[in-house]
Amino acid sequence: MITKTLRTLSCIIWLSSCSQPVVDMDEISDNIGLEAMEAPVLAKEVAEGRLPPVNERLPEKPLVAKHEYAGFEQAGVYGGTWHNFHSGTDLGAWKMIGAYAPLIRWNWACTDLEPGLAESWSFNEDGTELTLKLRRGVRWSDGEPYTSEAFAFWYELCLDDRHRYAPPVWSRVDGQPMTVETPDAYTIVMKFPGPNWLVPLWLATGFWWCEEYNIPKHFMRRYHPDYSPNHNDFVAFEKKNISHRNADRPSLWPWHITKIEKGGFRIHLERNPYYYVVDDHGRQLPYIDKIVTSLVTESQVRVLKVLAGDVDCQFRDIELRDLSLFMEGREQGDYHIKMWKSAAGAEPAVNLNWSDNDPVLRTLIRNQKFRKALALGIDREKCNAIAYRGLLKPQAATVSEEAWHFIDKEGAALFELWKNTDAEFNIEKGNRLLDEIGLSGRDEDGYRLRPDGQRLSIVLDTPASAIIVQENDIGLIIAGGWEALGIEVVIFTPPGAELKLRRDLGEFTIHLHGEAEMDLFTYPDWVFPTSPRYWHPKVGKWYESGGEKGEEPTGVMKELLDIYDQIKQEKDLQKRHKLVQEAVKLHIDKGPFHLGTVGRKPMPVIIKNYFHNVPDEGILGPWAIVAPGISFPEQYYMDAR
Amino acid sequence: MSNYIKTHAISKVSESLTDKIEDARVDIGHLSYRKLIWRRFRKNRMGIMAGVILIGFYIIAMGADFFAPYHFNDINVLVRHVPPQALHYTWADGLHVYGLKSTQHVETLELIFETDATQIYPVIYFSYDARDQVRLMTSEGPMFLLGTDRMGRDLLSRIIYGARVSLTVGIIGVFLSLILGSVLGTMSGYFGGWTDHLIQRGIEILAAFPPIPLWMALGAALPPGWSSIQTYFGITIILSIISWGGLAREVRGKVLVFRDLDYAVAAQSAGAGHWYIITRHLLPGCYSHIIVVSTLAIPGMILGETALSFLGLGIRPPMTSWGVLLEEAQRVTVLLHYPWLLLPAIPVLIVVIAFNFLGDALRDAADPYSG
Amino acid sequence: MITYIIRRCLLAIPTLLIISIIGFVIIQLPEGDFLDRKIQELEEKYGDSSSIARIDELRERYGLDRPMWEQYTTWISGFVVGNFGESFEYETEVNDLIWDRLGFTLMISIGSLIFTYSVAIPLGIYSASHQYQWSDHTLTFFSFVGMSIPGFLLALALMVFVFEVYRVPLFGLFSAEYEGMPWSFNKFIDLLKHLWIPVIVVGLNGTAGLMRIMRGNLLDILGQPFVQTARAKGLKESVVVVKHAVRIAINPLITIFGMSLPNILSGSTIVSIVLGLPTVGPLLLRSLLSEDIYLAGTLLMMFSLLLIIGNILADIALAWADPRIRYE
Repeated sequence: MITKTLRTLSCIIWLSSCSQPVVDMDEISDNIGLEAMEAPVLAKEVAEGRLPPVNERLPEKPLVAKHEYAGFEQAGVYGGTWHNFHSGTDLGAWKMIGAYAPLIRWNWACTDLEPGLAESWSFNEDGTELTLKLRRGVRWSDGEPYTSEAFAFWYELCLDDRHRYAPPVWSRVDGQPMTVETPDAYTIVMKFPGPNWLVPLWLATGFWWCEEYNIPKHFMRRYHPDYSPNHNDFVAFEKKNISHRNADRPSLWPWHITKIEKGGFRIHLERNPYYYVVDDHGRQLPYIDKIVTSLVTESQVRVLKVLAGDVDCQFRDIELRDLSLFMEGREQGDYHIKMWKSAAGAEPAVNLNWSDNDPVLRTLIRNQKFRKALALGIDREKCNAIAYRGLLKPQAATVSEEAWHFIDKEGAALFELWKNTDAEFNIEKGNRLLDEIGLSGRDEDGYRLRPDGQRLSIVLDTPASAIIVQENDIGLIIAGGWEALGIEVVIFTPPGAELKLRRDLGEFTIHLHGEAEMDLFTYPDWVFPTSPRYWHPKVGKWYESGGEKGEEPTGVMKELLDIYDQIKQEKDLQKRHKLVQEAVKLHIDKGPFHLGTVGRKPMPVIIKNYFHNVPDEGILGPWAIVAPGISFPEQYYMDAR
Repeated sequence: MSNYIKTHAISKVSESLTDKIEDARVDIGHLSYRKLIWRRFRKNRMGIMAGVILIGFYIIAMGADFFAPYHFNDINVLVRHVPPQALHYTWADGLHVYGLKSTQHVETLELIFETDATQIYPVIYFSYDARDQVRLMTSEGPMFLLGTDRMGRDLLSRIIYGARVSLTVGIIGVFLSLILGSVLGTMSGYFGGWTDHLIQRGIEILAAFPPIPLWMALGAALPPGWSSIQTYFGITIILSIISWGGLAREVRGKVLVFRDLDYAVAAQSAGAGHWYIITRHLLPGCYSHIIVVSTLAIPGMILGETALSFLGLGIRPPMTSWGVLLEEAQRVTVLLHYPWLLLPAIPVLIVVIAFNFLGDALRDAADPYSG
Repeated sequence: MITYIIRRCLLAIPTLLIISIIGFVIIQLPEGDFLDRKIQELEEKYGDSSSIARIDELRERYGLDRPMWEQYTTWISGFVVGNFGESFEYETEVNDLIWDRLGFTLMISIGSLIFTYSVAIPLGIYSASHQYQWSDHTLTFFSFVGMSIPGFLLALALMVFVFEVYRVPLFGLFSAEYEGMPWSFNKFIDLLKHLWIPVIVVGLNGTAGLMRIMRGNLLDILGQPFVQTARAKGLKESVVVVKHAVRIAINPLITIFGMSLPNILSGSTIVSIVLGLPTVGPLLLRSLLSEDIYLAGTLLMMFSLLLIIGNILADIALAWADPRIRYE
């Protein structure tokens, strides 16, 4: 109440002292003083009567941007245009920065959840009912109120057969969908047929879920066949519902799209006057006025753009290979580099197909000693030197070290053990192991013979060097190592989607894939065989299809899946972490199921010297945690120049 | 590709002239046509030099195992991105290279190499390496005369091994075009009627296709399951697809003329079979023309393979060709920091220029009115 | 004459049709379709992402589950109304993407042609009239070098050289200030400032080749008896060369004009990929690699159309010059 009065008072005082000259959109305000509660450009519009005053635009209790990271300097000035580029037409790289508007947010350390658009949430006793209380007074970028009807509208579409949305997997329990009720404009109640404790994590994961479940009903209804006489199917609806293709669609982002140049080659965004987040002093965010992001598909053009100083701050699409070039260009380009992390446990991991089509290879791969021998045949130091210039660290394949399952002492020790088990390079030992399991016979070229008398030959699916040169290089190095073990390695390098098809159908024997995951509850499949990917295509298919297709799990696979089922039912967070650790122990004892090469890749972030408040360190690998979105990029600012 | 223009220009301009030569063939005295051409060719010094250079290249390419100091896939972590080392000669040590000292950049962990003049590694001739290959020149220490790439592989060796692919792609591709073009062109001109029509339309359609996009589309369509060798042949076929059309059209033109000449008609009325007439009477008249055209088409093929591999659509690693080497060099980092990786462009240039000179000389030799 | 032109134009239509079919088939030859590749690409870049699974559902919307002939007919029938289908990658009509780029492609191609002809012909004449002299040998040597340099390599080297010396990244056709802005005189000047490099690089091969041809043709003509006669009549050498010989020697070059067009267009493809120009080349490469079938198909068609038009123009020019052909 008091803050509200003070705010209104200060607004009135400021407005009445408004004798400032008309501010050009591109000028940066020197008015860093705490009296400016909103951007000068918006204040101008308020003065002209085109916008309601800031206290009416903000919700009753705006979200306060946190900055518990090193690198935050101070509250910033308003103004400026942030130029950057993206390499994919889906605008994913930008959305990781400026499209994180979820009901519930991950905190910066990824150790907890915090309120977003929802002020609070709570489960009932047995986890079958989740109630969310929305922040009151939040508005869409066109001024219309944001209420629970957005979520309800989304779920309506999910249940509608004519629309391609379906109730998401995480909302189902044993295949049964949830029901969504909205008793009032600021309450959402999700009812599940059974306990579904992980839902809040899902609501906070990625920018894609919050993009989907926040639909501006007041805008989209005119394309909905049930609400509008002009349309009798969802074709137009789907087109208009794509946020990065439709500048008219209202959004909840800090900057909303104002102009999309033909084909999406350049996208202009401007501050959202109704943005619901403020800084420590109650000033409405974002500080920066405009964003211009260009589509640059050629990697070398991106390099030149950075060197020429054309980007103000760039998180992704910067390759480690060009690091020395970027370092040299710092002075000339007037930028500095902060080294963030990929938090990858394996770049790449070597996935062995647990259910290989060839029965002999299948038996071999299921033999722990065989897998250990293969692990001994990977020269990790060499991989590191060649592919990454020694900037990464050799290790066994793990998920992210920073994952919140391994924060406690026990967990940290367990992770250390996991990292270093089967991370050795020793050809002699590997050869001995292979001899021990009955592969000591050799053919005339020196390759080992399988139990059925044929030459032991393995196909290694490797992405083409044009796609990921590091993985291609590492594939060659691994092949060399295994050849020394007496195994013939055939490198298979298809361009395009053939690789993925083979993976999904489980027709590969070995393939390479980068491994980075911060939360195994929502994305368990590096450790638990829950989906037809990575090293468990067929068992995963069985789990995903509810037992209808794929291969039924036995032994260790079954153990792992049982643990995951327990996790889904477990209410207590700490107990859940313990269950994950149990599963990791299984990997250490009975594994390795997938082999590691090197991990923990540094990822350079290019930041101009006049650009501030960017965290010194962050995690850019796994997308589920939406970095740098979780650092509130709306509180980055640029100096007045 | 510009040779494509050339061949057409030649055909249109010198058609009338070469017709006269063919007539002369039947009349000339004791020197055969071929000997005449050879004599004239010998006078063209540029042509001879080009021919010698090319023969040299092919010998080195075929004997890659012997001429190259290293294998093309010898990965060596310790010598990544080494700049070219100089060969020195002193009376005492013979040919030798100096040793290398490496330091690591603190922030970027890049290796920086300096020559260490205190260490001298003399060149060793005709020795066996680890794979039991006899190599012309090796050394106990690192001997990277053209530097190394990002995996520590010797660039000179990779260029030599790459020559095997790049040079043969041209020859085989042209050979394929030749066969296809000559056969189809002859059939077209000789049989006339529907065969002619069909083949002509086919050629036109192919000609209406822009070559690079067509190559790109076909290159992208190469089945991924193919091994490097199969991909190599696939690329050769793709490259030859474009050029056989032009050759076919010219051969057809020739055949149309010869078909009605006296000796051909005579043979026909004597009861000779089609095949006999084609091979013994018609085709030989085209030989000189075919040879010239082929020689001029080879560089186009080589450049085509280079371009395709450069785009990533051609030869795939671990096989290497000049195009693959250039593709690895097309990064700003490379161009600014490791410019020696662009050296494969030079053999491409030399070979293409040489082929052009050779073809030019052959054409001049076959044309009595020049000079 | 008119009937000849009409006949050629009419013949072009079935040719284009067949090309479109062949092109369409070739584009779809690689395994999988656009969505497979898209998902693959997203996964490789961004790791696991749940939204990717949803993209699978777009298969129906994009019509990727329908048989090829149906996709083809839907696409081709749209040509009549100027609808070239939709690009999956850019999620817009193909129409919106191609016209600007075609414009720039044409600009560069025509610029290269002008450059080529205006440089090669005079140089060729000079070279022929000073045959075997020092200047001839130098020009010959440089023309061979020019014919042999792969365009993309030259582009790359130039780009880096300019960057090192002038610190100006020479990609794209516009400087940062003018990009995306509406057309103005200044923007046009900026365009010209960037245009000269692609034009020269693309045109270099052709220029060198054309010079050689011009020289060769002129030499052939100069060796003919009627030239000797002209000289004997006492005409000045320059008159002999220009008025009599060049006029005849140029004839074949008109044919070549039609042949140069594919080379120029193709050459500009790779060069523009290297230099990141907003032309058809980079768009085509990407669309081929991602199997963006309608975009790739349309671009191939456009290319072929330009080629056919070029050929027709060349043939018309030739027919106009040489009456024998008209009456074929």
